[in-house]
Amino acid sequence: MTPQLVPAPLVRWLLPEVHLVAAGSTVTVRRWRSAAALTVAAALTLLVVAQTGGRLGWEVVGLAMVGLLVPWLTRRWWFWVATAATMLNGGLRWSVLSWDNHHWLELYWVLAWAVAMLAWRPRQVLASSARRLVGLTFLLAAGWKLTPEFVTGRFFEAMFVVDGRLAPLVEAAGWQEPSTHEQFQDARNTHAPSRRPQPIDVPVSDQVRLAAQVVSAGAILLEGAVAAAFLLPWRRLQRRFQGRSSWAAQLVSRSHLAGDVVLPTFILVTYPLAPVSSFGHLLCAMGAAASHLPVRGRLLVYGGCFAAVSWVGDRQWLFDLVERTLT
Amino acid sequence: MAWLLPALLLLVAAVQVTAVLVAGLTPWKGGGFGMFSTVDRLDYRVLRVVADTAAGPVPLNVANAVSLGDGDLPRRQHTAAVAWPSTQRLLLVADAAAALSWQQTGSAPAVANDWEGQLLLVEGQPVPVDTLRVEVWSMTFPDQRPRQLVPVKIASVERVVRSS
Repeated sequence: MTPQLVPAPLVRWLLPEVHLVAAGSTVTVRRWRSAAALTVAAALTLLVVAQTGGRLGWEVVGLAMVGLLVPWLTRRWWFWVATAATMLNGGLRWSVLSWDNHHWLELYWVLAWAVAMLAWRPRQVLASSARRLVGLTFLLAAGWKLTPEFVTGRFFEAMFVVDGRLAPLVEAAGWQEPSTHEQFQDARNTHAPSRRPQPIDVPVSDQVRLAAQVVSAGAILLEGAVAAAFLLPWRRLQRRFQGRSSWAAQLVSRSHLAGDVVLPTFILVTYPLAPVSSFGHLLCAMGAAASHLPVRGRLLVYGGCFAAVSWVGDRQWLFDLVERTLT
Repeated sequence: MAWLLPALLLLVAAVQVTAVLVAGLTPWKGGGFGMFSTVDRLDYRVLRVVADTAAGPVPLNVANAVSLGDGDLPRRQHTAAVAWPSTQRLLLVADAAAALSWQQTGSAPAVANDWEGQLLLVEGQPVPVDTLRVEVWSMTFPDQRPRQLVPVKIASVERVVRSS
């Protein structure tokens, strides 16, 4: 029996690979899912590019907007090469040594799209690239934290005093006088412009010291967990446990979803504390591409995280919450 | 194909780790993902330029020169020298500073201005400059004083100027 073919302009616009929807055709359903997964990841990626593009130039923002309006372009390798080239052109107006790490990762990610669109199975190549890029990023980030300065909590003790993004949190909790951060800024300003720098005291209370130790340990564990979830060969492990009925085998059978648990957890825990929203958004886009969840699930989880990172805003709600809870 | 970009990430990170360990690059920069791991970050580093004269050292207000614009001490040159203070980058900063005119009033560091003529004026009088010293300082926690951020000079160069 010939399956009924349904012309679908909206579907064709959103999912360029699917020209006709054939009711009941499993092949088409599989292609539909694959195309939808690409469209979700591409949309999140282009939103990130548009967001950071403001710094890089109007042409980057323009390309991202065109890609959002014409998803067909996102299936073309040259579109992503053009996007990467304009990003690089904008970024080179500054020294590459001033780039933040998420600017590097964003460039790799846009190039990974170009490579994937040249591949025979674009979605699989894109997902593999995303898993490896995210995994390596977190492996390196966790590795850098295995120093005495970080492990003993001294780094976060200092950050809670000196960093204008973190100091308001411990001040809202009543663990530190608001003047401490101002005193540090005054002391640091005496370094400017060219006087010989002087030692600066970092006075921390017992609560701040404890908080710093908890946050330090949590950061290493969470980043290590993300690295493991994205780099370990879970499928191979699952094949080894196949056919067994123990609770360990049950757990292993779902282990490929570990990334979809730990990465959203990392995003939701980290970005209210350290508001680097463009890094958070980029991880959402890459997580959506790497995800093993069904399309609706990845849209819900990573689209939700993307919205949550955007919503964090000026974090006054967080300071109020901390103040109400801890004081 | 899926390893192409991860391999590039690893390559850049390997260069970054090497540069941090042997050449003074801040772990926060360079694409090695060392952010939020150490207080040795770019904006806590200090770049000093000091003019050595017969009357003593005169610090130059580099921030003022950076803000003058691309023609003087370009921001990207300044940022690169602070982030990764190689001898070559610091000498470029010294050359850029030597190409400017500086004027000191009182005890404040000398500021760059549009005045053309001698390299350095102190209280309106030209002062011969022997050398320009460029230094980069970072902050660290010494083991014996864990509650104090202590500046450490991580790189310095001298450029002989001998202006009259």
